[in-house]
Amino acid sequence: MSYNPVQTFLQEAEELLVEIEQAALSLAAGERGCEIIHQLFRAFHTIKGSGAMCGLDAVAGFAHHVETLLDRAREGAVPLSPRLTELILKSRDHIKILLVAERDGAPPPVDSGDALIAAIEGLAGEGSPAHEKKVNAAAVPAENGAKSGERSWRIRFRPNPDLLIRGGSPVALFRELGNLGPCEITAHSDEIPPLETIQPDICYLWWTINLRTSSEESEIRDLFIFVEDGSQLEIEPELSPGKEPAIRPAASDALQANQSAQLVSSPAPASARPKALTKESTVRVPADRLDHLVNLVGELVMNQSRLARAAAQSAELANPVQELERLVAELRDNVLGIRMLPIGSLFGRFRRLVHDLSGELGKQADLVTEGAETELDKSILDQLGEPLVHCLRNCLDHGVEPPAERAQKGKPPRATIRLSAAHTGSDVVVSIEDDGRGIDRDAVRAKALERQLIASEASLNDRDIFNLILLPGFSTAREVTSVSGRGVGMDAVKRQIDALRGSLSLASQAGLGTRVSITLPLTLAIIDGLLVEIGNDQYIMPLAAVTENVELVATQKPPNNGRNVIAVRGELVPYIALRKTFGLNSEPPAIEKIIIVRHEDQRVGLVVDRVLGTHQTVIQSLGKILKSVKVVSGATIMGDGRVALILDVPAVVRFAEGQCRGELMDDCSSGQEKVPTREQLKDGMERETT
Amino acid sequence: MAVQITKSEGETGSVLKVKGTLELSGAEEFHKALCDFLVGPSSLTVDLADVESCDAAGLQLLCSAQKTAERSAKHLRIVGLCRAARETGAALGLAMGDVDSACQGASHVL
Repeated sequence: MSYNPVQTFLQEAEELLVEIEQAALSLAAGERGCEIIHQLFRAFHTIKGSGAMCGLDAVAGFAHHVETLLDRAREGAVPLSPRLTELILKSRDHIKILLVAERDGAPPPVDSGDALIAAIEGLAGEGSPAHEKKVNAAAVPAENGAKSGERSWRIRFRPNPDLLIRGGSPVALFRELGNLGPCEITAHSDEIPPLETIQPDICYLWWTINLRTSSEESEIRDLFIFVEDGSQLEIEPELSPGKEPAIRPAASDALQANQSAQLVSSPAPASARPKALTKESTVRVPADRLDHLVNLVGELVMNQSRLARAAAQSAELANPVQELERLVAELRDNVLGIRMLPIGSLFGRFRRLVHDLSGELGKQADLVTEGAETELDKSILDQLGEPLVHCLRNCLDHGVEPPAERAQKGKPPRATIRLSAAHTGSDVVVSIEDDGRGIDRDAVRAKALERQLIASEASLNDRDIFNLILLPGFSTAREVTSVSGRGVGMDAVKRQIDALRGSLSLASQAGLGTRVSITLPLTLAIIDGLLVEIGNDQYIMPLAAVTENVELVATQKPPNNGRNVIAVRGELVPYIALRKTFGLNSEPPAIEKIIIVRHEDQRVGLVVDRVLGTHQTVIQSLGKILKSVKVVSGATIMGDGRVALILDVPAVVRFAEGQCRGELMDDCSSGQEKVPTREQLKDGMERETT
Repeated sequence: MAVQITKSEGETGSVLKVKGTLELSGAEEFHKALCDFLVGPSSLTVDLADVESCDAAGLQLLCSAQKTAERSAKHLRIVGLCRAARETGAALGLAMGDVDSACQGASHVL
């Protein structure tokens, strides 16, 4: 794979834009301004410099204007104001548009950003005493020919030997330095080796530069930002103007010489450059390569399972196969671990959403994030953004009250929206919690009655009422806004979370706030499952959902007051006879097994014929034809070539609940979920593969 | 345009004619051509008249060749110093008017 500097720049710029957005939002939230302005300046400066090196002149040119504005802010000439923050955020958005156009090979965007540049220049040019002073000072030459406020600087720059390979251009750097003021550049070629030993792509040159400028040291240093890594840079003021200081101060001479020798005369071994090593310890890998790797591991796991079955008859093969099984399991965990990303990468962009949206709605809200380091599979993370956006929009639009209303209720004018993530067993729970007005139960019930979703005498607990909100098209909002109110949000959220094999629950207290909890599996690719059998068919239950299993003897079976319940250590646990639920006609054995699972904080039993053991399960899609089967979330191919269905435990429980209530699905007129036959399964999976 | 290097034999020794971009992308090729000089004749002329652009990597190789020539008592002559090489040399603080002095370093006021 050839190195593409533009591609690398686009990736780095993407990260810098995230950094810019976060810094601008921190500025808006009143965090320490000076440090943040420096951070912003550096980020825009890097985009400008690297963009120019990659030939992205539009990006570099635009970033230059923002850099100028930030420079003024750094000098104190432009105050840190909401206007400045908004301009930075808009500039970030404009650069993003330019980068997307470059990445997609699209023509430059119609909006050239002229209006934004005018606004930036307007703010940067606004007269302030500090600014005027600087302009005036620069315009009047001092007696000795130097301008007042100017100083002489001695710069010693020994670049990273990889400067040229990394696309660094000393010529461009020195030209930029020349913009700060007159400079005298001296190249030192003494470390260039003869032809026998020279490596043509290594930079052996180093420089001393005398610069006369009114700029501060930090501004000079900023010019070196994108070549600084692995380089030695010394910037010192000249002791007296016009007088040459000793090139190497005695105190640092020995160390300097030592470092130079290591850095320049033996550039090849990477181990000699600790700073560069830190960077190189991270490798960027395209996501599709990782996906391919996960698919290969999935294939490997399935074949290992077949091998284990075939080798069961051979005592000689037992040990090596067992060892292979251990290695494959370790490989599986490591490969899946590579795809795990901290959820904080997703949280970051929501600060901007809350900032923009609260302004649009005339509300005040802060987003507090917790557990940003919690890791989730990348494929889940990619699909989680949209549901979370819906939830946050709902929070701000429906939950959070306007400042005046909050003040009346004795709440602080700024609402707090808490976005948190935490591990619970093999799941991750993501919560969005606000301190707004909470869900109005009466309004929800009235709306449900109006839409004939419930009977007028229906007795509903809190959970039932909140779940009504998750029905398609349900909204209690009095008016539809651009943000929400059409009732498609929470329905869409639920569908997306279901598709991720997750679950969603709501909790709310009137006047105090609402919490949406989304429980997600860590990964969608391979899970540990419990292999069970009903009749001749095998099924997988996600092991994470299983708490224990107990025997069910035929004599225990007569329904207890019309309900299937069994006493487990003194606690009555309801159970579902899967044979009946799935409409299987075979006869049950005399002793069945009840797999007890946890569903929405309750214990529920699922009755099967036999428990065959744990199984590393590679999840495969059922295909479009069988997509409507609700109680299974996928299938897997067993070692003997048979297909086992992976049960969606919450869906099975919900379906059984529906059966009990007589609220049967349209396609289940017989009162049983139509579980696909083996032929249908194979057909569906083959078509999906094709 | 990538670098194009042609080698010919002149009255006073070998001649390397460099055309196109004398930059990092062609540095390996230029280096190889110069290395042949080490085992070749005692005199080499490098003609830069057709060089369109030049960077630090290209100039470093010229300095290296100069060092090698001095050490091995061979004669290196650089002719047709093009505008691109002069400008890059000036920007980098290398005096290109006399490449012989490049090895000692020189200065330039921008």
